[in-house]
Amino acid sequence: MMQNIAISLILFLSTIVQVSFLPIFFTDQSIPDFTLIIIIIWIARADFNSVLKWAILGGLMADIASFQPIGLNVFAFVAVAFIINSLSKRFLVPQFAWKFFMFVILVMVGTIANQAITGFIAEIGGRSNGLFRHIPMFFSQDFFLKLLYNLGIFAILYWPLKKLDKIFAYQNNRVVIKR
Amino acid sequence: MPKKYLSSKLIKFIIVSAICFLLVFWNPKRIFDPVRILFLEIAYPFQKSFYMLGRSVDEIFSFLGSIGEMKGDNERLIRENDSLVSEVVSLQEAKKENEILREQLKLAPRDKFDLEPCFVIGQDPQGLGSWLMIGKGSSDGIRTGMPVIVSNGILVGKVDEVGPDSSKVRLLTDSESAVNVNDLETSARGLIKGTYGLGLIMDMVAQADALNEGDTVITSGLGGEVPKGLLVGRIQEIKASPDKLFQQAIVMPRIRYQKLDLVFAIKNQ
Repeated sequence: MMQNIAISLILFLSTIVQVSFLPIFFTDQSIPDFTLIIIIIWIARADFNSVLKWAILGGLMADIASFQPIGLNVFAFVAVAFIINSLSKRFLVPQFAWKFFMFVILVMVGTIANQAITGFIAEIGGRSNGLFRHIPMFFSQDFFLKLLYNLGIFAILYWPLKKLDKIFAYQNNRVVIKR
Repeated sequence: MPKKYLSSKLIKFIIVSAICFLLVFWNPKRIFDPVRILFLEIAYPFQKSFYMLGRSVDEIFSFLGSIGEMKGDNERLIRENDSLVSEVVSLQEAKKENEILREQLKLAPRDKFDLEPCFVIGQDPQGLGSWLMIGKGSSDGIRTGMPVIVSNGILVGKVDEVGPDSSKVRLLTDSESAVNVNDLETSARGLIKGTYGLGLIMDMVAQADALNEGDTVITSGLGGEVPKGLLVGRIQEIKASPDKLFQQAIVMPRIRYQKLDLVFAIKNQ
């Protein structure tokens, strides 16, 4: 119960940070995906079924707070979780250097997938002018910066979230499988 | 076992995706309104605090970054001050002339608007549609469609959705935004539209009308929602529309929307 409340609170605050804090410091297209990175960290360390509900909740909060059609970010987060989980199961290994490199790749894949999915659905949903308008954005300096910022956010959040997971695991008296 | 797990994972993913697609394309905004209002009510104090905190941090960093430049700035400002004092004298005359012209053009005096000051508490984090969130809502008399300006009469956008304590303002740069405008110098009429959050385009200008680079673009008051005479921006480039029927002009907004702290909703016109 406490674990559920804590995770919901983390997602709620991360949504607020995403909408009301980060846009002050970053330009439009380079604002880091704070909530998405939290989901990526969880999904890379746990199984899809246990993180699915948090991906849905995070996406729902993002949709509500950013005035997007309900379902847009939910789908993007769930799809990213699915992709990252599939990749991490195949490629994440215990060796530190290789694991670190893989995490960098996972964050980049997650960021690109999220941007592509939200951009494409917004376009076919008629919220922007014309299809594939968002594609040139992937080659812009702002998007490159967004990737870097997301990696920075990942580096900042990874250890605290890992610690939190261990605390929950201890409280639940369950075994944490190290990968 | 892994196959069974994978299939359950895939099935869950497909079900969630299908529901999401249904929601996005059916777009039942009104159904989720109570949830959205409740969320915004709970989030409002947090959003306000985080936005204020962010602004303070930003100001501290800007201040620290500017310390080195202060000496030079001080000398420059003293020089500027001297020239501005002489300019004030000539502007007094221009002010009188402006008042006469405003009366002749029937432009509403900017100090006659019933303005509701609103702090910005959130911004579009994804750049899909350009909007601001302001910390005033229906309880403060904010209504959908109200124009939003900055203090010196520059149009920012229009109120798009209203909650009890906060509202969403659709910026002029949003692709779904459209406001009737005039070229101040030539009186050419057009429609100012957003371009995917990146800038402004003055569209639907008749080929016979004159547009010049550097001209000022103001609201025309047509349609009645936005008062006449609010500043929008300056024409940067002129081109023909893709169908060659109209002229288009790229307009540079007069303000950076990302740096806004305080805006004003026009409650009466």
